[in-house]
Amino acid sequence: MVKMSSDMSVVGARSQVTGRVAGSGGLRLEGSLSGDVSVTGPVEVGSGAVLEGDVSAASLEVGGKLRGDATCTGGIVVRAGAEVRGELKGSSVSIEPGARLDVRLDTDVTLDLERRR
Amino acid sequence: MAGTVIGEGLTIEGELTGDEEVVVHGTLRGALTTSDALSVAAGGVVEADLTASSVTIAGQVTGNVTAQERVDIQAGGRLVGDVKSARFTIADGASFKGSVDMDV
Repeated sequence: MVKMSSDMSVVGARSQVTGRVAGSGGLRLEGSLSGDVSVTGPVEVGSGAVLEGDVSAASLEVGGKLRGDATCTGGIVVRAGAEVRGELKGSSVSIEPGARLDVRLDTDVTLDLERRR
Repeated sequence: MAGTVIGEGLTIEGELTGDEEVVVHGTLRGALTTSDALSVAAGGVVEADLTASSVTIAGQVTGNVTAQERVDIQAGGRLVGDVKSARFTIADGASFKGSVDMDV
C-alpha cells in the first residue's frame, strides 16, 4: 500500500481523467486514466482501476488493468487479479499468482556468465 | 477524504470528469466536471472551465465556473471568468473578474 500524504494524488473510483498527468509526488488510481503518467513518486493502480498510457514513476503497483509501458527507478509489483499488457522496466519486477500478463520484462540484469564471456 | 485529489506538485493537462468530491492542490489545465463538490485549495492553479455542485476557490482559477448550488471565493482566492450559480460569495481579500449569472 502506498502511504497517503500531501504530495499524494488520487483519482477516485468514480472519476475519469483523459490527458497527461505529470509532476512530483505519487499517484493512486482507483478510477480510469487514459494518458501518460510521469511522476517522481510511486504509482498505484488499484484493483478496479484502468490505466491506458505509459507510466514513468519511482515505483509501480498494479492491481487493476494497465495497458502501456512502465519505466520505474524502483520496483514493479503486479498483484493477483491484475491485467497488464506492455513493457515493464524496473529495478525488480514481482508478479503474484493469478495476474494476467502479456508483457516484456526488463530489470536491467547482467549475469556473471555474460560478463565472463 | 475526498474522492479525487490533485496533489501539490502534480499537473493534469486534459479532462477530469467524475461523480465524487474533487480537491485541487496542484495544477489542472483543460476541463473539470463533477457532480459533487469541487475545491481549489490555496496554491492550487486551475486553467479550465469548471462544472460542479459547489465550487470553493482559495487558489487561482481562470475559466468559467458553473455550479448547481454555490460558488465561494475565499480570502486569497482569485477567479477570472464568468460565474453561473444561484449563490455566489466573494470573501474580503478575494479577487474576481468576470460576470455573474444567478439565473434570476
